[in-house]
Amino acid sequence: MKEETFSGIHALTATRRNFIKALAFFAAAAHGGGSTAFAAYPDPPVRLRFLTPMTHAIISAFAHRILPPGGAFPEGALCIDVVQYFDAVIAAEPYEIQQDIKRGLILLEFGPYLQLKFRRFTRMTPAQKDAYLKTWEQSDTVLQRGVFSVFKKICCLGFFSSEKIFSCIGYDGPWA
Amino acid sequence: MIVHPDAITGPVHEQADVCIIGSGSAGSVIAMEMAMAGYSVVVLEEGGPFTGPDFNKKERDMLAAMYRQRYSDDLSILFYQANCLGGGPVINMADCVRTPDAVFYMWEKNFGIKDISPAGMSSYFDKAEAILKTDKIKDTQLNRNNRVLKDGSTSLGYRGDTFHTNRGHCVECGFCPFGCPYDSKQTTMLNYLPAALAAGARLYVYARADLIEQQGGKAWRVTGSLLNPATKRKKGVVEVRAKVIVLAANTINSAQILLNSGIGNESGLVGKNLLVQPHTMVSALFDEELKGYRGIPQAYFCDEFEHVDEDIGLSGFRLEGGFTTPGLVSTMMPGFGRELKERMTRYNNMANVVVLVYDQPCGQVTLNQYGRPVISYQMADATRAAMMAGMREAAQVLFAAGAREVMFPHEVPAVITDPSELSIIEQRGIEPCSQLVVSFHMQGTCRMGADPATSVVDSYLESYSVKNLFVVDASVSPSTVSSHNMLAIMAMAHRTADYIITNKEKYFGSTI
Repeated sequence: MKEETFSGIHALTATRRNFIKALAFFAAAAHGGGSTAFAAYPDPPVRLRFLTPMTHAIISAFAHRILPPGGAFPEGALCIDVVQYFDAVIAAEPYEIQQDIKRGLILLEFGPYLQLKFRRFTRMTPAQKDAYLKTWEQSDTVLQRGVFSVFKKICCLGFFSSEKIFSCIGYDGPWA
Repeated sequence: MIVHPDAITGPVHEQADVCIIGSGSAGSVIAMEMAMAGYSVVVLEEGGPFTGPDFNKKERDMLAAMYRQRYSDDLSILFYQANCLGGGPVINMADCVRTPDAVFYMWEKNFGIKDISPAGMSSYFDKAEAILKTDKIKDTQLNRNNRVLKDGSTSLGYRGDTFHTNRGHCVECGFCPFGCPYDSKQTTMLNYLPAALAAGARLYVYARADLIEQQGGKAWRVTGSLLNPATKRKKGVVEVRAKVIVLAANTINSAQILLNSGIGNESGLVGKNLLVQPHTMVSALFDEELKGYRGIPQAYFCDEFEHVDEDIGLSGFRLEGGFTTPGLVSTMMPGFGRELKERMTRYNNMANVVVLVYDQPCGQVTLNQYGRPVISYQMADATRAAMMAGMREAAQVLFAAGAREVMFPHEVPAVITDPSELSIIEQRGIEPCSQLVVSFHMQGTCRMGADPATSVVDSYLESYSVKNLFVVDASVSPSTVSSHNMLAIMAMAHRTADYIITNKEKYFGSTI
C-alpha cells in the first residue's frame, strides 16, 4: 500500500501507522481475494459509481446508526437514498479524495481491531456499533473525529434534504 | 456569447485583448469594464450557467451543481466556494458591506498600498452599488430568525443594524444560497455579465483554466480544459492568447493556478497568508414556531464586538442571523441516532446565530501531487478566543430573546438551558473537528503590497514578476477586507479595470 497522505487525514499515530496500513491492506486483499476469513460483502441493491460492495456495506451500517429507524419518526437512513446520495457526492470528488474516503471507510470497518474488539464494524450489534461510533465522535484523535464528522454530515444532508422527510420534521417544503 | 462545451467539437484556440479566468465578483466586473471599453474579452469559467428557471429550490441539486465544498487538510474547517457562472454572488446571502475606512488606512500604512484611500475607493463602491441596485433591508423585512437576533441583542444594549442588500423585488422565499429563482437577487448574471456579453465578450462555461504561461516576463497564454458538464471530466482543450490576463478564480484556485504555472511567485508568498474568516453557529429552541427558513435568511447583524482600527484592521467578531434549509441545518446538529432525529423534529422552533470571526493571516494553500489545492489552517489563539467569546455572546443573545435551550455546534452535544451553564464553552474549548467551523470568505493568498519581497501583486493588482498578469479577487487582500467580500472585491475590480484602461497603451499599444 502506498505511503500516501490522506489529504484530510493523518495517520492515527506514528506508532500505529504500519498497523493501520496492514489492516487496510488486509481488508483490501480480503475484499479482492474473497478470503474465507472475511465473509463476502453483499452486492449493493443499486448500481453505484464509487462504492464497492464492501464500502457500500460499511457506509450503510454507519448511516443506519447515525439515522436509525424509529424514535421521533419511523424513517431511517436506509429508507431514504442516503447511501446513494453519499455515493454520488464522493463520485464527484477528485481521485485522491475518493481514495481518502475509501481509506476512512476501511478504517471505520476494521478500527474495532485497534480497540481489541475482533469484529468488524458491520458485524457488530446495534448497541456495539453505537458505542463504537461514540468512540469516534469523542476521540482524542483529530483523524477519527474528522472522519466521523464528515461521514455524518454527508449522511445528514442526504437524509434531511429528502422530500420524504420534510413532513417528519414539520418542514412545509420549498416556498412556492 | 456564452459558449457551452456541448457546442464544441475540437480544441479551442482564442485570441483576445483580455483573458479573464473566473466570472465571479471580480471577473464579471473586469469583463464588463473591458468589453464596454472596446476590448476583445474572453472569459473562462469552470462552472456552469444557471439562471432563474434552473434554480429548483432543492438543496441537494443546487449544492452539487453550483458549489465546491472543500475541507482543510485536517478536516477541521469546511470551505464553501461557488463553482458556477457568476460566482459567489449567485449563491451568497446578498449582503453588501463596504470596507471600513480604517482597513484601507491600515493597508496604506502597513502594506504601503497606493491609491486606496477611502475617498478614492468611494466612487468604485458607488458604481458597484448602483449596478447591484443595493438598498437597506427594512426592519419590517426581518424574518423570525433575524428578529430573534435583533430583539436579543438590543435588549442587551448591543449595537446592530440591518444589512444593505442587492435584492430587488424580493419575495422572501429564503433560497438565496441556492440561487434566486425569481431574479430578485441582483447577481452578476443580471447586470455585469449581460453587459459584458452585449459588448461582445465571449464567455466559455465548463472551461477550467489550468496554466498561465509567460513569454519574456509578460503573461502570454492561458491553457485549460473543457469539461463534460455531466461528469466534470476533461473532454477537450482550450487555449487563449491575450495581451492582458486577469486571474479572478478565487482565493484557493488563483493560488493553485499560479503555483501550478510556476509563475508570479518570486516572493514565495503565493498560497500563503490565507485568511479564512471562520464562522460557527449557535442554535436555540424556542417555544413558539419561528420557521427561520422563510424570509430573508441573513438580514440583521450585531457588530458590538467588531473592532476596526488603522493598526490591525478588522478584529473581534460579529453576530449575524442565518438560517436555511433542513439538510444544511442538520449538519449543525450535535449527536447522532434517535437523539439527532428528535432534535430535528423541532426544526420549525429553531433559531440560529452565525458567529463570524475576524482572523489574521495564518493559513496556506499548497498543491498535492495531482496539482490540486491542499488547505492548511491552524486556528490562532486569538481567533479561538474570539470564537469562544462570540459563542458566549450568541448564547446570551438567544437567551435574552427567550430561548428555552441553546445548542452549541459541538459534535458531542453541548446543550444548556440557562446562561449559568455557559462555562461549557471554555470546558470544551475549540479543538479541530470537535465542532462545526465553516468558511465562506477566504482571502490573502496572493496579497497586494508595495514591496515585491513581501507581496505577490502591486497596488493595482498587477503581478510583480509577470507583467500584464493581474490577480483580481479576494486573494489579494492582505487583511480581511470586509465582513462580506462581494462588494469590496467588485470595487477593487472596478479600480483595476480603471487602471488598465488608463494605461492602455502600456498593455495594448495604440490600437484602441
